[in-house]
Amino acid sequence: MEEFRPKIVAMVCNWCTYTAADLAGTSRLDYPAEIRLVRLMCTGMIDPKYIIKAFLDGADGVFIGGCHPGDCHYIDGNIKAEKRVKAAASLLEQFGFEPDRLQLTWIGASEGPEFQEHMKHFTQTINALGPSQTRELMVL
Amino acid sequence: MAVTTEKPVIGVYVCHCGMNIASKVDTEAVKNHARGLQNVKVAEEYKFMCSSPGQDLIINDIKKKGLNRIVVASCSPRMHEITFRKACEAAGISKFFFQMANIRENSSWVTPDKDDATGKAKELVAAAVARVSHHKDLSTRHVDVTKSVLIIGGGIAGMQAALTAAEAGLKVVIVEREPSIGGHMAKFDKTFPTLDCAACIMTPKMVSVSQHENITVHTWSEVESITGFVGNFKVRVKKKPRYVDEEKCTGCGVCMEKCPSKKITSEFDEGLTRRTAIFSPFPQAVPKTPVIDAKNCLKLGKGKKCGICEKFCEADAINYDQEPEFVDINAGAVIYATGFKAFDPTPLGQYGYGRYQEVYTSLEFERLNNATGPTSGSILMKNGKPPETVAIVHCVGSRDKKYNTYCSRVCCMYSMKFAHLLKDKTGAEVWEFYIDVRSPGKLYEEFYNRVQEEGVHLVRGRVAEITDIPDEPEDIGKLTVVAENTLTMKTLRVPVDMVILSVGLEPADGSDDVGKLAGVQTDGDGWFSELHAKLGPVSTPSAGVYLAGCCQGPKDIPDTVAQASAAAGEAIALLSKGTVETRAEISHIDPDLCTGCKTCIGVCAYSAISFDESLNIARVNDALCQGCGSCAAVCPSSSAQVGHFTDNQVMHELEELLS
Amino acid sequence: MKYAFYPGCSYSSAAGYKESVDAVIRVLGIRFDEIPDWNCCGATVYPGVSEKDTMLLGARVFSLANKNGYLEIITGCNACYSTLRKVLEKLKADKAFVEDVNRRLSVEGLVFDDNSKIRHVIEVFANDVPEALWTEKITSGHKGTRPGFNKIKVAPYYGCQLTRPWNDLDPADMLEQLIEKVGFTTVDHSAKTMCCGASLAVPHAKETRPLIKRIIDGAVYNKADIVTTLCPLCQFNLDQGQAATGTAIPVTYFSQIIGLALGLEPEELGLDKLLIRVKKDVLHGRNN
Repeated sequence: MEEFRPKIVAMVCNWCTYTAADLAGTSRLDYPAEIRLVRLMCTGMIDPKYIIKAFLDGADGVFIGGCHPGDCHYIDGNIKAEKRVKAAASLLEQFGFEPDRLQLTWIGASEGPEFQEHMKHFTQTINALGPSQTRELMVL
Repeated sequence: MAVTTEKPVIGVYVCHCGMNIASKVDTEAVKNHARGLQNVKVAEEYKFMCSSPGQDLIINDIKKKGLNRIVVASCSPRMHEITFRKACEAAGISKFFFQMANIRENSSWVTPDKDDATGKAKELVAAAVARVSHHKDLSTRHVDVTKSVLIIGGGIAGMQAALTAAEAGLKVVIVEREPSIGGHMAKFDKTFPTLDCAACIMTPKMVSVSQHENITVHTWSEVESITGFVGNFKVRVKKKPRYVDEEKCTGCGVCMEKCPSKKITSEFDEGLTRRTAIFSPFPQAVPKTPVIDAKNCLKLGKGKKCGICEKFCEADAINYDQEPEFVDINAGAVIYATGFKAFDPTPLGQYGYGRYQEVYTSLEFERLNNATGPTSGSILMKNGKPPETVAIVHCVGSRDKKYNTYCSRVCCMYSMKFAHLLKDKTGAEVWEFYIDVRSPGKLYEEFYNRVQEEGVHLVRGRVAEITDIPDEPEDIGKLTVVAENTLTMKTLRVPVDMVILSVGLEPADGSDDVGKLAGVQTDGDGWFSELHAKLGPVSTPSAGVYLAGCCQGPKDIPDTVAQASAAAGEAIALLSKGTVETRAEISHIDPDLCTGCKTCIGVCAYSAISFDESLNIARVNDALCQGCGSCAAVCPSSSAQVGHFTDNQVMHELEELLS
Repeated sequence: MKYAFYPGCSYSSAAGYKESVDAVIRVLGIRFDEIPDWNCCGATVYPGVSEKDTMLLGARVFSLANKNGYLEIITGCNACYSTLRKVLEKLKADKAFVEDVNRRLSVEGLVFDDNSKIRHVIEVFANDVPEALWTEKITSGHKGTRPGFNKIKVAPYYGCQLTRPWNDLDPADMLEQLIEKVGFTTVDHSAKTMCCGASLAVPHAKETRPLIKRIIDGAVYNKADIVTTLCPLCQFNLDQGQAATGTAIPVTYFSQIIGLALGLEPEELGLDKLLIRVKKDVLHGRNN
């Protein structure tokens, strides 16, 4: 049985978390290669259907990264995102996905080391949870 | 450019970035992988895609091979998206038909294993290719701008920015919350390293500002709100009531002489003297018109029968019935110049500030030196005598994990300035206790040498305590400074007459609230966040909003003036063309799909969506929309879509990443 | 109001600390539940021997309180406060430490809850006792029926381990405010957070003598009648240390002066245990 390499999608906002990821890059702070970043302008841009699509397409984990409350470039997009992600999470739970597979975390633009920590930590969490059930259920 | 539904013909370019990408990612493998992707006609690799030959590669391929979509796999789009978009435009295709795959910051630099790094790079490229196939051309339009600048803060930074902008022909409005412009510099006596008299170099600027035909100054005023967008800000200013008519007042000062309420602590004199309820902070104040401190005024604040100032005012300028006045201003750009405040050393109980009367902060000591201060410029203790020994303690509240970890940059220089002034005016013996001596500017190191030659005792070591308990009977009444001399490895106990605490700088009170009005963020220490620490020190991520002076971080006067002119320069550049381009990546609501539920209107933080009653649909104002996507994310009919971040584009990117 | 109380090893032998705290909380109607089977915290010595085992000692104390339904513990000794708080912060910062400590605690069926908190006893008196209760219970001075203590000058002494490395006592002048609330006058002096020598005062009496003298000098120079403190070791050092400094200024616990304001007798407050006794006229407020 091949070693489990999770597929993790991280939808992050341009102004804070994506900048932090760039900073982690320039500081050469490595993190697991399983993480794939999708750059959006704001976490407020994340339609719940993006999260559901990601899981249905076989994502083992979805990470959402945005600005700390109060720092959103678009004032309160992150606050709106928080509410929407909570709603999406409860929906996912009803369909049998473990709630820990979806994580929303605030990471500021200057927080390169924190970005690295969160990526490592989230990958560990997903590793522990194992492959998402869609992989087994979907007939390819 | 017309919206096209032609089949995508994609060119993929994999950059080596020297060894930055190539050392970890097998660029050839990525290139070959790209060649096998759907719609990819051309895939190349090159050492430096952002260089001229790299860009030419793209341009030529577009022209000769009929490419209509470009993917560059290299660094972060935050770095070079603009560069490659320009190349696309130069070749004749829309700049929006371009996508970057970040295989440097997101792969080669953060993935130690080469196979993993290469695998990730391949996936990121595939996702970019899938996304770009669905990109649409976007259009913008040009909006007229208001050729004026709002400057918040009337200290040296605000004044310098105002003069530069005004000379370029822009209209300038300065809003200053104190009764006069001048800021902290008005409190100083001499400035380092040239020992120029602060008032002498600044008052001409104050006068120029007040007389310049393009500059309007509102003192004793605050900014209430800022709405709008770059080039078209709408600002509401609240002018607090002075209770004195600016038009009528002649600045004779009789009201201040006669006012019976004389015991109010003077803010300008750092608490060392008292002032009256009707007051002007300092003699060279601009404007000269005094204000009435209503809270402490016998008539306005305490309900007593007074009215003496009105009685004696020959110009009949007193008006107790004045109300706050609101002024609405249009501005094309905003410059923050809110300055700093001095660190309050009271929590450092071991230094005795507030306990011993001869322990002063640096700003208090400036007032002792200034001719308009409590001692008319002589350095005198509270008993009226000049000090014979003085200790200056560096880094109070700075370089300290318990208070502020940063270095406040100006204190070493002003401490040495004080040492020099003490020697010059009193001949006192001066001890300076420092951690390091920081003298980086022009003529600063020379000034340090001069101060050493003047016989100042510079001790490398921190002060443990300042106590009034003397070691010897003859030192009763003096303060003993207990410090470490790390160079001789001994503890020193030095009896002194006076102690000066070189306090650090902190952001001005209320600056974070004022910053929020225009969406300016603060960093971990409370200073305003600039766009980029090295390459964008006077801009902010908010278009049209700039920073000048200490509000962005502690700095000395030369750097403040330089930064103020730079901020004004940026504002001038922005407004010089007379128009700004609207954003392309903004929301658009498809009128055919919109059901008129109005959900989007409620979530828009910029009030950019309005409702068309006749057609029963929502409509986005393309000049106000910032493209945050909140409306698109809530829209139940998916009729609201953000250009360049549509559901279609994002979902194809996701799908490809997870395949 | 009830609290999980950690006495620490020197509490019961301290000169009147336990007696005065017990008497004061009885009057105010507060309950301090001593943590059952508590162990020594390791104080300042043990972390130098084994940091890992100190973590266990501290975690065990918290887990014993957790078992009885308390998340927060209070203590009256600066060294205990400092050591236990450092353990708490280390545990909160690293889940690996928590796992290790819980593994070792499981032998006794104990579990450390990482939502635990710690405060010093003085914070309870300064911040938790409602104003109305003080007004009701203080029987001296203009608030009460007996002469007040406003002519008595008290020099506050915080000791160092309460105020370093943390900078978060709120309000920062908690002891002075409490002294004045119960009707005494405070004298300010620059040695109020300086080190008394702590456990080094015994093996290194000569070296710690100047430290003790410095603090007493602060009180004497500012003409204080008494010193008041909030740590058993500080009180001991300043009390016995004056044999060498040739001064005789009494060093009390803050709970003892609160007790005097509440109308309690000196014997109830253990004031007879001080090496340097408080003078009679001070005990009566010096109002004649």
